[in-house]
Amino acid sequence: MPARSNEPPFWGLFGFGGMVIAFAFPALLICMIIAGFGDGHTTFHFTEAMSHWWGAGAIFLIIFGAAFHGVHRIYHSFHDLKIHTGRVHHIILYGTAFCITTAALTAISIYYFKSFQ
Amino acid sequence: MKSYRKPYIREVSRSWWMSDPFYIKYMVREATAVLNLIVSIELLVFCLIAAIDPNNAERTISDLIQSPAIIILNIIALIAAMYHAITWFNLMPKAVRIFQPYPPQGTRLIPAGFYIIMLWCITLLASAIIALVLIFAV
Repeated sequence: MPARSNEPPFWGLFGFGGMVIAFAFPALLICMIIAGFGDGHTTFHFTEAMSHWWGAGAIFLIIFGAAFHGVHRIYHSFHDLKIHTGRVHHIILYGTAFCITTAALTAISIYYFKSFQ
Repeated sequence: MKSYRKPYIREVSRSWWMSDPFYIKYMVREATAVLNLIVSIELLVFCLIAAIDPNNAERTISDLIQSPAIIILNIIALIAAMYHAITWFNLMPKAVRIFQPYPPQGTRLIPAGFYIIMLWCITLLASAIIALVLIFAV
């Protein structure tokens, strides 16, 4: 029996992440730029959003989706740049996305449960 | 099993995509992934700041996004994210192929424009919510 490809779940995450980026990133970056130019008058209420369950969840999904979307596209672009990908590239790239996701989940949980105290 | 095929493989240079605007646009689209990944790391850094020092996090993050390097990065990332959104939404009707639920049934696909307009409407709604939460703190 031939080995089954592990592509479908990664492609699924790529699709999910692509959607999340397209929906959220332009507005998120515009808010960051506006807050960046406004010296103190407009604040970036990132931590306030993190203290609500819906804000914490949304931020986690955005980081998780964008990380896996990014590495998947980079992984497949290696072929276009004449870099032959193997197991090592796969582990490094998707491992990076996994680390980003885990770190985000940990940090968001710590902040969220601290804000109750 | 050993293969005895010796197919002729034409040499392709590493800069193959520079010759045609269509390929350049394709590579630019693929390159947006790098910036999207950087932004996701940027958001992770904000989360880490909040977890490590919850009381001063708001101030630290505000100072961080006011630094010129981060503003320049954000502007480039915004252009990349917009290009990603445009290409992603234009790609959607090619990936999702559903027949019209109204007559003539089973013969015509839902027009591409429908998906694209719906996706932009969702983006607009999501953007309004994000702006209300992050800038106006509603």
